[in-house]
Amino acid sequence: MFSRVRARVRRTAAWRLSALATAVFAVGTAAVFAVAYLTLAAGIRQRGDRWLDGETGSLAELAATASRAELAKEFASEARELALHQLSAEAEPENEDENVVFFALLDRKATPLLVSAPSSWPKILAALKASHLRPGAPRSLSVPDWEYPLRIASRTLPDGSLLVAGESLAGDQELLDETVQNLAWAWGAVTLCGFAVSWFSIRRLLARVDAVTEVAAAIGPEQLGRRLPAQTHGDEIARLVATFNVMLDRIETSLAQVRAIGDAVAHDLRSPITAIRGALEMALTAPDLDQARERAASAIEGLDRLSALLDATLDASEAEAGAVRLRREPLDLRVLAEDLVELYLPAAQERGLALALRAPAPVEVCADQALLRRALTNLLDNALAHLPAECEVSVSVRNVGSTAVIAVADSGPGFPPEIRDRAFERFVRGHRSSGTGLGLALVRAAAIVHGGTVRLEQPPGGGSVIVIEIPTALPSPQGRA
Amino acid sequence: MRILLVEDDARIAEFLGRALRERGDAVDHATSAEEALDLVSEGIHDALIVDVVLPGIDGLDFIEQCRGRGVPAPVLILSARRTVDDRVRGLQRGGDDYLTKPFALAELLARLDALLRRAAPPAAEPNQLRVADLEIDRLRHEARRGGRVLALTQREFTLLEYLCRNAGRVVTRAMILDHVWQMRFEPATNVVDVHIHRLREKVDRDGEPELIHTIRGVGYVLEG
Repeated sequence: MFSRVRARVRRTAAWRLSALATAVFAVGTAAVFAVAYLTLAAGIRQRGDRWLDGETGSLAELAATASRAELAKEFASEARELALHQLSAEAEPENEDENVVFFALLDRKATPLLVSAPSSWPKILAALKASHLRPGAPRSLSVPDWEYPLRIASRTLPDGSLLVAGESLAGDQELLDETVQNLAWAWGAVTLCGFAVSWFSIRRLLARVDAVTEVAAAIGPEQLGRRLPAQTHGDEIARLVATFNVMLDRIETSLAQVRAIGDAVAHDLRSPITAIRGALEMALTAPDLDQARERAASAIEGLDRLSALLDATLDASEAEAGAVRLRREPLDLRVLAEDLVELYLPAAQERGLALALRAPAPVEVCADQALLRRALTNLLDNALAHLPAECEVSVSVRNVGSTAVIAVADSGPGFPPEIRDRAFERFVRGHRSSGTGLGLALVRAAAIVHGGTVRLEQPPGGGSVIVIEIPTALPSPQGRA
Repeated sequence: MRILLVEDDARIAEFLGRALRERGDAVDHATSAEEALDLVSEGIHDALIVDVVLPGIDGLDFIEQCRGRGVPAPVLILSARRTVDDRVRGLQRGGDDYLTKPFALAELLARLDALLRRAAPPAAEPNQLRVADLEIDRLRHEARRGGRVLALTQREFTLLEYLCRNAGRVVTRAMILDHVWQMRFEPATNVVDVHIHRLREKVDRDGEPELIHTIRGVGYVLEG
């Protein structure tokens, strides 16, 4: 049971993050403490050495001028003073016979001439003799059976005798040992504190993530309206929550769109299928061949319209989803517009519409010819389908800076107010429109995949203008999306 | 002509087979690429009609294998995929023409004929076309009916020439848009009909027998 809980805890990010943070923290503090300890140890050693050096120096000076007796007195008083000092510094001296200070004057054969030494002097002397006795900088001397070595300094006097001063390192070492112990305790406490702080703060943070997860898991197709509670912190998690909510909004909208499209397509398909079926049934029961042919032809026309609707639906969806692979090529929009105006002119005239082209100069772009032609065709189809006779339609193509502007303007009654703002959405069409509601959606998609924009203008003087703007230069690499 | 039809959809194969036989072609039908590979190796077919989506080996792979075996017959690809990319891919892999479902039978027949003509030893395209009392001089860019010079615009001349070249064969609006305006889709407006109407007013004057006929639901045919 407990091990299961432990295993679960170990799988959490909070655990991993705090363990990692603690490990880094522990190594860091250990390094800091180690540096502090080594600096302290080196400092103590240096101070001791300086003292030993100074002591031998001043005793050597004294030995040069004073008598042996005076020197012996000096040895004794120094030793006494130091012993007293050490006693007061060290309340409970361990290894008392190790904790020594000594001064000695030895002849060339290491025979002691003058000694101020504690009871342990014979051991020290043996050790001194064993180490090749020579003058020089302070060095360590280990005494057999002793826990701590001695630190000794020596000087040769003019008469060839050797002045030796020595001090046990026991006091220093005990101080350092105690320091290590204290540092270790401090390190443990600090590490534990660090772990606790990081564990609790990370867990508090991740608990908010868990809350998000819980709500997100509850959001299914049936509850797409649910949102994560907004967070007030303004930090990363609050931003995550906000982004998540925006994403849910988008999903909800697209889902609603898909449903609406499905309904619209079903509706758009049902009516023509009914008509086609009717025409074919009537062809079967036609009294003569001519009438049968007439009705079959009408059925074929219905099928063609159905097929066009299917194409338009697919084109609009693909273009809107950005799934169209643009086949860009250099082309002159003026020529494209000229061709289309020429194609549409007779049909426009037949409907009593005046169709004019305003293209003062070539407009060179690098664009998908078929898609742009398709877009412009849709605009012209719209104009011909919806404008009352006597209206004017003008197609204009021009360059404005690095933008190509294609505008189709008419002097008609304008878009019905209820669809003005949504004119470019799929399946939005006026009451009396017989269109698919896809034409302008494709126009917008075509403009957008070319890195451009489209807008509807309703000039105060009446009529409406649809303006497509696309950059003339090739846009960024994702233009081929 | 002997046509190999590779199509797994029985309904499409049935009506295509019937249409081709009705106009006098011999038709072999295969429902899979494997079956078709056996038939094609006989080397007796003048043209192939191949559906892209087939069970097993798909249509495009089949065409590639045919080309690999040196089958020279032209191939018309049938496909439900209608993007320019699909068309280009089909032509790159050895197809000669590409038709999207749903198609008008008239268009399929016209495209097939065009492929067969192209495959035949090249006959110089005549500069003079004649249908009944309609004459077209391609060099002088002039059309006459009963000796009377028709005042046609550039586009109208191209349109009439296209109808003349296909005299006796139905051409659809899609075919007209493709050949005369180089547009591969149909506008929702009856733009082509109005152009034909205007052309007809110039070609078929009152009292003269009609040359340009409307086949409702399909397209137009120029016939004396």
